[in-house]
Amino acid sequence: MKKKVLVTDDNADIRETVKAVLEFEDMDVVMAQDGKTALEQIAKERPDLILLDLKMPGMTTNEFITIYQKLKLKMPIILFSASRERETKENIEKLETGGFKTADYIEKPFENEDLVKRIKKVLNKH
Amino acid sequence: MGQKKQLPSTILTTRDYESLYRTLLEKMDEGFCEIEMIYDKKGKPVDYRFLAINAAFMSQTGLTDALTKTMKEMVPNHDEHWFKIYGDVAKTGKSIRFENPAVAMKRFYDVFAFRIGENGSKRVGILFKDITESKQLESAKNLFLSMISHELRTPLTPIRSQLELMRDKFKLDEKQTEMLKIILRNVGRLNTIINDLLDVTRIEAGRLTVDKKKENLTVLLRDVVSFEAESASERGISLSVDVPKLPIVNIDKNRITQVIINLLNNSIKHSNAAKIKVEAEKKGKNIEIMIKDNGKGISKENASKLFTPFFVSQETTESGGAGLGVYICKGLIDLHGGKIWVESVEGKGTTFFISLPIK
Repeated sequence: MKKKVLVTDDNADIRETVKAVLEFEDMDVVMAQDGKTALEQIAKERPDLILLDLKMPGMTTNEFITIYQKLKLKMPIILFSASRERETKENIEKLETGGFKTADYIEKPFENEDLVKRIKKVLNKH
Repeated sequence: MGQKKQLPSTILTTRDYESLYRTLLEKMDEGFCEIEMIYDKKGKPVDYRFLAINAAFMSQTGLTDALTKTMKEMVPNHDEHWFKIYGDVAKTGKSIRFENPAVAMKRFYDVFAFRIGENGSKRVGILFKDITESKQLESAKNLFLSMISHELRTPLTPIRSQLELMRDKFKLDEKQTEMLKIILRNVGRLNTIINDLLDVTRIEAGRLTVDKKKENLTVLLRDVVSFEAESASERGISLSVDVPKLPIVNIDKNRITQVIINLLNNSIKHSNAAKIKVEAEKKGKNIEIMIKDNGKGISKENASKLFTPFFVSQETTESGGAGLGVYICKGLIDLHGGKIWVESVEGKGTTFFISLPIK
């Protein structure tokens, strides 16, 4: 069975790019431009993994994670961040205070090889 | 003979001195005050009284009628750190220069404080300048740099990724492959500059931190050198490493790796050296790392500016770089409680030294 990944980013070019990279790896990709759309896509598409931008317009990542936990969703989340490593880690620590754990994080801009490797690793574990 | 010898005009009499100091205090645009510390029963400094103030005191603080009053009478919620600092000056007699915010006064100050009188004196002299405006400008600049760096990373993401897809997933001829290689190398360069800008804003805002753990520096140095070997040999440079077994050190592995890579890259790209060597040894309570090249060297004038941000020498302008690398290295080594310096002889070569405390 093909794995399905939900890519959430407000930048359309980034969404399309990640989609292209993952489709070359024989994965199905669905997309969302914000947290609200991401929740709709989760209900409709049941993805195996979520790639989530750390900074989203509208619903914040924090609010998204709260709803994700309330809905008792289990698919792993990899965070996507345009900040430097240290700042990303600080933000993740804040997100993880409520018992939630991120599967990994990827810095933008990424190397395709690294992106694919990390996503496959998380998918294989879950 | 018999006539009173006239003093040369450059030697001042006591009266001249008095007049000079009075004029100095009255005319200078820096604030001055003499204070007397007030302690609680346990000897903790809790307030101070103004014994003397100069003309600029009022414009620098916004406080009127301060003379003979105490600081807490003037500003009841004045930050506690000020009492502690001046208490320490009175206690130790050690003069100090520092920059500190006065939150309740909504100002930022550059201060020089010194004890007046001998051991046991409670009096402190304070020279100060309101630097609120320059601090606000600095923080606006940092915010701008940090914002612009984030904004630049976003478009760089699809650029890099799509180019990699073209390189990896499509059949290209030799010329196209070469073109893509050049574009991608420059995308990488741009990414480095953006990362450096982000690091600089964090250094300047005091927000850069290191995550220290016990690490094996010998392995780290050997790994970095083997990582850089290809880019050195592409330029016909022989890069070698001679590092003995060193004691385990407490460092942020990623950040020290960043420092060594940065210094090595500088040597590889800008020194015109034929040989670069990385050495390290234990020196007392420290480990000293040396990055030696036999290149063209750095002039004394340039060597002194090397550790300042955005410094690029005339020669390096052509080989690229924003002049942030070495400045960031210094910031990172400072955070490790270490030292970094350079020794260079023009025409003979340059050595960068890093000294890191073992514990």
